[in-house]
Amino acid sequence: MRSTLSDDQLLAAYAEKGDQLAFEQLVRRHKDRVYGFIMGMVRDTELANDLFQDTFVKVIDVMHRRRTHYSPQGRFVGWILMIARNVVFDYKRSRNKWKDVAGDNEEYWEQLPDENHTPDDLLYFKERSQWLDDCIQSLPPSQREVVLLRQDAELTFREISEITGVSINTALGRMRYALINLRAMIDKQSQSYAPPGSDIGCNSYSTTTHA
Amino acid sequence: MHKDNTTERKRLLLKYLYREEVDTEQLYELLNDSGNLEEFETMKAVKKQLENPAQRQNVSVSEDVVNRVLLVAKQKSKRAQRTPRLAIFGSIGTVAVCALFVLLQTIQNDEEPIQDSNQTSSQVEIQWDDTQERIEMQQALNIVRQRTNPDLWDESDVIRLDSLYQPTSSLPGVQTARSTPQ
Repeated sequence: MRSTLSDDQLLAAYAEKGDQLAFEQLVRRHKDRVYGFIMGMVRDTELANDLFQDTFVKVIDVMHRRRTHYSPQGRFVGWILMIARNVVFDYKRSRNKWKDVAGDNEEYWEQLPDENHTPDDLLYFKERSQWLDDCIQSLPPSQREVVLLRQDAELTFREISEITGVSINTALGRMRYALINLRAMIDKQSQSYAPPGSDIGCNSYSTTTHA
Repeated sequence: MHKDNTTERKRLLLKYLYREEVDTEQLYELLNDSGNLEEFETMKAVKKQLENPAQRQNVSVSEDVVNRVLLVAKQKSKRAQRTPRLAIFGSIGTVAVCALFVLLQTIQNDEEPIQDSNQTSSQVEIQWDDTQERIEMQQALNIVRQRTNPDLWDESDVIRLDSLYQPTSSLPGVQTARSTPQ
């Protein structure tokens, strides 16, 4: 019965009547999208689990203060992914990894250096069957984020622009470059199965970052 | 300028690829260009690969984490349900206190004479109406003042001192004092 209810109906059932099953339905409906996004951004299972929990705890907090903080504008999944994104950013900031992040300044993203992987990492990536994820993770963070939000979380470009605080054209531009970069990585990957540690693969690909 | 405009228009291809609403007229115009069509096919192929679960890592959150989230939700709901009950109790309590206050006031008003008799002597003195007594005292005082005020005395009121002195006998060896030398 609850599976046929909309997100907003489930939200109302939980927030107003304390219907636990309604909330469980909401969590199970969106957990893969939320977790997939977080995992794609942090690339660490344990950390992704923690941040997933933090995200939903924030959702619960806000829902209990819903009269002042949550109004059901737009889709619930967009809202929850925005919270997930903030949780990820807060974590990154707390680790001083992205301490120079100034809001949603898009230029910042383009200045981020690609992470360097050791030969052991490359060996690990090549041995994995899910090599395409490694290609996604080799993208610059701004492009990776849009791919995760559009391709996996199935948000519209309009929703992505709202969540990330950029114009829709910027979001579209990032996605376009992400797909072009991925295509080049895929071509390179499929052409060569070079010995581990060699300079071939998603992680050695120089990406195009001009959105 | 022309390049920027082209890039911007090319982004329509992406919206179309992801089945979002696009201007069909502009789209057909774009797809008539072989370069654009090639780019569209490239992006479409990548999208297809991204959608292939065999090439993607199957990421799923641990069931333990989901259960922890659900537990938190349950606890928060319980707290939230408890809070309104306290609020209701609070408002009932406020009404009860007000009613009690009104009741006490009523009882106090009814018992005022009794309370007067129980008051201390100092309070009785303060509340005693002595106006009449004060008037009488003031009148008496005025009479006394009137009678003792020298300015109001007339000749008949003056008592001559020497008239009061009447020697009845002379003692031997004592001469009567005279004020004038003989």
